[in-house]
Amino acid sequence: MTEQQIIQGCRKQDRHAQQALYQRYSPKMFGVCKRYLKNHEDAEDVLVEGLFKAISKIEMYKGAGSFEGWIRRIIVNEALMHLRKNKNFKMTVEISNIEIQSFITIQDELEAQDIYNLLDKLPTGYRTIFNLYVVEGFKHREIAEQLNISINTSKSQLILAKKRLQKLVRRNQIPGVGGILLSMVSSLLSIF
Amino acid sequence: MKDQKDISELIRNNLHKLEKRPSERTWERLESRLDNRRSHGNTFLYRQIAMAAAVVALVAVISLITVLFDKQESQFAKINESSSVKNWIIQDLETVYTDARTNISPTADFQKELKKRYANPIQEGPQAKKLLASNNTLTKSASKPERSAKELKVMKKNKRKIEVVAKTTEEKQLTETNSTFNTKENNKSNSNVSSAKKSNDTDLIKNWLTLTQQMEWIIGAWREDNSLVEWQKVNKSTILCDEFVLKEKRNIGLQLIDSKSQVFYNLVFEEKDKKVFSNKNSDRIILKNISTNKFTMTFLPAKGNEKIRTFVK
Repeated sequence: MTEQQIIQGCRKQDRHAQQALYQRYSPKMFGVCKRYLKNHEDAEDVLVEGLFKAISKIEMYKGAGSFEGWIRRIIVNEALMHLRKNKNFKMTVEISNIEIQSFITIQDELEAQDIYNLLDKLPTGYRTIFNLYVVEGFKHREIAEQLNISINTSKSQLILAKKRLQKLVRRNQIPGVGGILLSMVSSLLSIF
Repeated sequence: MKDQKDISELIRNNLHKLEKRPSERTWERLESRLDNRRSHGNTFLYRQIAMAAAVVALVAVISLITVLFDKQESQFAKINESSSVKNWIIQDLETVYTDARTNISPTADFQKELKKRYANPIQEGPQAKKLLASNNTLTKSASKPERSAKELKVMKKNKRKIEVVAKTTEEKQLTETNSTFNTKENNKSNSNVSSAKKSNDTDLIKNWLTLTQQMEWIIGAWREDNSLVEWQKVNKSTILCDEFVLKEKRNIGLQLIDSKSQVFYNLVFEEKDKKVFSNKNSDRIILKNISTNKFTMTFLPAKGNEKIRTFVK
């Protein structure tokens, strides 16, 4: 089924088309959910709710922009709603106290588990803002509106999130290729 | 170690690895939600239909009540009151003024008039129009009886047409009146002098007048002991004095409003020179035209003593 056929079918509330939509987009969207939500069950809840909204509000997709992007926006929104229910994003941090060091030396490849490990180590506020800004490409103004926080909070949380990630990577908590090589070399050295 | 990389870019570049098929039950859950929605959609439709039906039923009930209420008003006689000393009861068309202790004593003339007038009451339309249609003497005595009969039929058929027909006939009658007598005052003074046939005509014409027009005898400055009241015609349907307002309203008929307390008295009984008004507490006010320069206003409270005020010009 092509994307167009799926959309047409969903408009007619055709169950096959709905299932086809699920088959095609659920892996990607589940990934999105998992980036925002640590808990596996929460991620599934959000996925079901988000896809349900996308399917039942299919008439609202007018064909402007990519269909996948449209679904993703719904899912992200749903995830934020879920977070907002359980989490207050109003945290303020003095931006001047933060030193910025955005480049670190690290391997190119990150495995899925590495990313999850990294994101899981971030507090919900950091993680959400990091996701919205870095992955979804939202502007700080938009994030501030979405999460009902100030623009400065959004900025400072992003910086803190990045800093935390760098720290995590530097501590070699990610067993990437580089990390493994390094540990092999060091163990070899220790033998000699 | 390879190139220096921004951690954000690193994560962004490896995002595709996060794609993971959710567990099977996710689709089942989604499907059950979609099923729910389908039934929800149906219930929504049912609800809409039910709501529409409820609205229709409500409108029907309201119109039924209005029709019944109108009917009751037309017969105007169904005032059932537990009899107290001052209470008088009009139960239906036949039984009128059963309480002999009141000042309004039943007279043979009055009963005759009442029977005559309500022999064939038409059950539709506001009170004023009903009187109009039920006046058989007029249709019989009119110059073109056939046409009148036809008119009557039309009246019965179509409420809207009643108004039209009534209006045109009324206008016709009024122009006749004007040609015979210039004003109603003249009409009154002349009626004594006029021939028997003419006075009969004027009586009939009176029945064609609106309720407010019938009340015009009250207009003028009146004295009561040491106070003075002046009744003035404000517009076609309102006669006003300091204490009271006489107002004719569609569907309700004539209303007497106490200016001070803003209590409404609806017209419950009318005769040529007498109008009886009653409020919701069954207090009654009777306006009675005794002569061209004298009228009485009787206040008959549901409980307590009656008060009669006599006004002279």
